[in-house]
Amino acid sequence: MAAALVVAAAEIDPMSTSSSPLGLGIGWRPELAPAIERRADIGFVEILAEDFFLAEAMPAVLERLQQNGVKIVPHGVGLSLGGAEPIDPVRVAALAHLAQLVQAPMVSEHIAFVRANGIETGHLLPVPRTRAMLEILIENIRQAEAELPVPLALENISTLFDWPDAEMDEPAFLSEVLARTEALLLLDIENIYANARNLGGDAVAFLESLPLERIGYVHIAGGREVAGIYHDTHTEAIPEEVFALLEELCARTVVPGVLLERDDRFPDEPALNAEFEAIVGAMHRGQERRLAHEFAHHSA
Amino acid sequence: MATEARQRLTARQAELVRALVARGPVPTRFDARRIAVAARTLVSKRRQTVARVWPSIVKVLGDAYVERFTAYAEAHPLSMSGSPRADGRAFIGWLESHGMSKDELRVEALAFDFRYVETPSGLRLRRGLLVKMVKLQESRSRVIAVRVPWLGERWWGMPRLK
Repeated sequence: MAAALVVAAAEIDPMSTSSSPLGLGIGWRPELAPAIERRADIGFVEILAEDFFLAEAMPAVLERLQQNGVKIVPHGVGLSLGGAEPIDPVRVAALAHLAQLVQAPMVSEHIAFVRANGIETGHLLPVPRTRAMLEILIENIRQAEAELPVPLALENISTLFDWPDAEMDEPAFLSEVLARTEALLLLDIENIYANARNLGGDAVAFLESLPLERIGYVHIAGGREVAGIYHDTHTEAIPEEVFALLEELCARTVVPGVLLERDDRFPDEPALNAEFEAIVGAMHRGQERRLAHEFAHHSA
Repeated sequence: MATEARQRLTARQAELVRALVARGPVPTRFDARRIAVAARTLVSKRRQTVARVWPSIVKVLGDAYVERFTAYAEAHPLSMSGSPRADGRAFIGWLESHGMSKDELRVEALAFDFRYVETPSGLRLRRGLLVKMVKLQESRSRVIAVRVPWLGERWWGMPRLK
């Protein structure tokens, strides 16, 4: 009996933290490494999974972060889960291996395709929102989940165009994917903002139609407008409208983690820290609204 | 899911991909203006990603980088791995065939070929006994790289690069 209890306890992976909050996060980039290390309240970082597929040991640059309690989430762009072709088992195995190497609480990917018939685009492309696509996508996701040692979080992408003849809107499509798989939602609120701005639609209504309790974590970033089109470049400060959307989200649900993405035109450390403070501020405002609402509800 | 459904959808996805990266026609009922904007965005994103992982290419080409990479990328979709490092390596090959390469890039290309092999699932590290050579032009010499398992690697003939 005692031995069985010891075995049961040993089977609970101490690094398995999918149920505990991730907190404040940032996409790890070499250019940001010193600023990230100096900030004590970073709970998790994302690494670009494909950049680390050849790593045979825990990369030294990440080891120190991990020793300070920072969790590492591999973020992939190459699985092409939304591709109509079967997924590549070699890529899934590489992601699974990396997840173990960095003791990741989860891995993340996108609801998108990146290649077809042997042509690579190096870019996350939207999938047609049809029943037929949905069935294929769900089958691909389940196959990936079966091979991964940790939960998979899936991100909604930004796109400059849409497929014609959609049979459902994006929240309905995402909701069905989540309902029929084990996947968590990596909710990118800047992508929702970008799509609403470029293609139309109401960003807050979009949030409200999603199963928010399935959020693994949230992405936030800033892009820029060129010739009337907003590009999701991760090169600028976060726009006010995106902070407002984060507040709206936090007014509706408890968010387990928020991660800032910055890929170029890197800010200096004070500017980066100011961005973090603004993220935390928007979260607090939303949280206070939610608590005030719940309190009023209970008192009534 | 039925194989036919996958095949049908693969054909439609491939049509879209060709419109975006291989100058194919815009598939029916897609917004041609938006597809054109997306196609340009894809090229500039590729150019920025290669600049990030191959800073030496940008250093050697200077201001000509944008124009030359754009010409290369518009004629050549990403290679099978989708790896930006492999894309940069292919770009050096394109520069060479257009008489625009430099010794510094020839040596870097050799270093890449010496370490990596490209597969459809990404780059893999080369293993085992290996000998590679490249002829330099500005310094009129050859660089030879040899690796012997357990003993390590050695390079001969490295020029002094400006």
